[in-house]
Amino acid sequence: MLRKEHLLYRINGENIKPRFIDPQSPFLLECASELIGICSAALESGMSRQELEEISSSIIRGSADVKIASGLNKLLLDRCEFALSAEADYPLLRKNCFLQAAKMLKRGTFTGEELQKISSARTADIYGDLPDFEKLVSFAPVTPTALLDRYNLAQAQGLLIYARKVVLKLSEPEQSELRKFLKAVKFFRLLAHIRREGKKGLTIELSGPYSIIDSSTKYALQLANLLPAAVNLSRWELVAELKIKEREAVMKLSHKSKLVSHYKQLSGYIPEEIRIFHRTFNDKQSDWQITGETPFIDGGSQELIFPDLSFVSTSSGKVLHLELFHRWHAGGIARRIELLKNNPQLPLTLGIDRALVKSEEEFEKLFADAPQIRKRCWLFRDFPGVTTCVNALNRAEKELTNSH
Amino acid sequence: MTTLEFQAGTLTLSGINQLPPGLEKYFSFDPRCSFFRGRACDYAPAVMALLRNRIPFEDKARDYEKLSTFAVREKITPRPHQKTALDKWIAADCRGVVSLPTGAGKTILAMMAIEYLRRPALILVPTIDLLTQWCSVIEKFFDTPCGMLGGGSREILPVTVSTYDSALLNMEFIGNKFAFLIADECHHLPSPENRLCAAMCIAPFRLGLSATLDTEGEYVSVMNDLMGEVCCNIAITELAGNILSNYQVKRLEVELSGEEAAAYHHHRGVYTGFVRQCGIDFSRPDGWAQFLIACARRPGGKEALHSFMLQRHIARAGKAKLDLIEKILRRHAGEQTIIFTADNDAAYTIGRRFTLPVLTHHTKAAERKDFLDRFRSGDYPVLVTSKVLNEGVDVPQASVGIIVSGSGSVREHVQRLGRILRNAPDKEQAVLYELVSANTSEVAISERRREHSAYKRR
Repeated sequence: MLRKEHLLYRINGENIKPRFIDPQSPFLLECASELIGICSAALESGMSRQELEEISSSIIRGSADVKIASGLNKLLLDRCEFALSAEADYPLLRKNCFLQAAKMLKRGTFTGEELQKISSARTADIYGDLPDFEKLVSFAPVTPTALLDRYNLAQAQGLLIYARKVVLKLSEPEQSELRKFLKAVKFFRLLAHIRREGKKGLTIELSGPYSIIDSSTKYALQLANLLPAAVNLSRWELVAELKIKEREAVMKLSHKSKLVSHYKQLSGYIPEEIRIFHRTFNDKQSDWQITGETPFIDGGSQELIFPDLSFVSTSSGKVLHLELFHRWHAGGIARRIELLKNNPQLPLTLGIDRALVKSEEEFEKLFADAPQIRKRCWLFRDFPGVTTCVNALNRAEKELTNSH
Repeated sequence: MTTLEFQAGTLTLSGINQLPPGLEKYFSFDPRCSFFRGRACDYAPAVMALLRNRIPFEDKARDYEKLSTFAVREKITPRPHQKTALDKWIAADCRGVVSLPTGAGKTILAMMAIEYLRRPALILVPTIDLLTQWCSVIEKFFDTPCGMLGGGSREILPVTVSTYDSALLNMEFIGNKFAFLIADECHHLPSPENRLCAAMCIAPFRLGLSATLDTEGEYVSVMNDLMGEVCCNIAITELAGNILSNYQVKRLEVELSGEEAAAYHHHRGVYTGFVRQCGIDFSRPDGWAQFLIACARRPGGKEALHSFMLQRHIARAGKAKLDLIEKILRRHAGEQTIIFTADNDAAYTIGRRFTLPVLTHHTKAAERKDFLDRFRSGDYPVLVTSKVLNEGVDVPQASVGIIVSGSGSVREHVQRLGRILRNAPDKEQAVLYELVSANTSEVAISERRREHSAYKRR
């Protein structure tokens, strides 16, 4: 992350714009390359923090834009790990020196030179283990282009540190990418207020629980950390309300800002078993069809459900959603059953991997105080078969019709 | 069923469609979650309002009980001023701020309050040194282990001490586990970040402790809101010579040597000339930032920054000051002495020159403890520090303080004086030396920081 002194921006009226750099600029690529080269060389030769900073600062000072070079260097230092060499036991050395000096100090018969000699006779610097003298022990490599991309993202993140409120607009988001993004929202302990915009758009207001009481910047770091996850979405617009230097300002970013996320993008991946299930489902039966689109279901109280599959009945036209709990999803079953109990109208069925329940008895126990939900839940092994799934859908449809 | 819950540092009220009278003050509707949400610190008045309206509710917010096994290990015998302070705080419904001078026994007052309430308590402190110090005192007086949050520790127990920084990070998880919140050096509490520590905690009982309270401005109302009003205020001058050690403050002007004076004036000229040329106004809040930007962009900027650093170093820790420190150390041989500097550089210069232990934020925890223990036991007669000993740390044996350099902050100066004021056996009079380089900017800085009754007394 960049520090306050590295941030470059322009304020025009109520708008604030980060000053992004051109990640293809030959001059900046060269500067990045030189700084990366220094870190790599420093690692090979075991340089101290002070030595590394001295050499880097000569490049920074000689750069046409000191602030940009200094920001790039800060991002590189974040990738460095320093540690003390175990050459000398400085605390022990100091203790011996201080105890000897203490005798002279208590007697009052000393000169400054005599006191200094106590330590200089044993070591060149009695405080030779200060952070400046720590050695570089690891450096996470990065390419010059990736560093410049990271710099642009860090500029935007640096301004988000002053954010009080962030609104994200998404057009036609894919369920998989939205799911991933909302997972990140949860991970950073933020709350999302989601509204639909037209048929395919969504507006997501992001804030922390306390924000409704006081528009503090308490959650700004979390919002800044969330930005790379937003950048991974395909079509997005972000509006952040900031308070910077006692001024209110608005920062607008979008997928057109050409920011590059360093968070891994896995949303496009479709597991093989799902591909096979899709193919065989339509071949084997005709009562239900898999719909092309699986919308998320708002369960209220910040509970968003992302079904794995959605089906439409060929006879009644009713839509039912299926959420699968695989063996790595143990934590959420009880919560989801509780949610269904409180919201029985939700058109949702749950498939649960047998690995998550030790026995049939244990499975039945889950519904001890919610027998009506029992008919909507069923067991599978590894991945549901088509017949089991269709039977479950028929049962659930009947149950939902009866309950209405 | 109406339910009151603690959620991520807030208080939520669900199972109710409309707020009954008296609760609108504490809750707002949160459309993100479809229930009402308020500040955790309003837990007590919210519960009272629900009871007044005879609304049956389930209290899922509170995650603490009265301590059933609380036992006192060592009987606390309060001094009269501590008894007065406790009585006034109890009369204020166990919610308020007590201002006592450094060394007057604020920690003991807090122990008395914990014993009085016998409920889970969270103590907020500004530094790691104070964290360990408070834990030692708690374990000395009470037969209960003390939890620590901060400085690499994360153990939450019914009586826990936390740094403000760690509390800020953790309050959304632990804010409902304590009935009693104590804020030590509570003048740190109203800052925009730290205030959330108190706002996100449900503790109905609160005690703020400080020797240097703000008496005007926005921070006063924030403190009143979060900790309660000042219920007891005792000045340094009321206790000196009795509860506190008697003291003398000596300001010594140091003439720079000819060579140093020439270098100082040359570099000062380069630096101030650049500042004038760029029209930088240091009275503005962003004056320093403007100076750094100008140094990076304008011709002559690098030289100006270099000159600024050099002239400051000469004024703060030039040879003349080092010679005077040597003389003072000889004059007070056998007395426990703390040397204060404005920055780490000067502290390490002195440490290297006289082979002295230096305590800064770079000092690792084990060595930090060793330095303080040996200083308290008298093994080390002198300790050098930049700012980490400015507040709270208890070194009653110290009777001589040497301020080699410092900021213009009155609070910092009063706190430094406080380090040598604690009474100890065989301690007759404490002396605080303030070394000021003559004909430098230090003279004006010194005048600014002496604006306190403790310095005007004599």
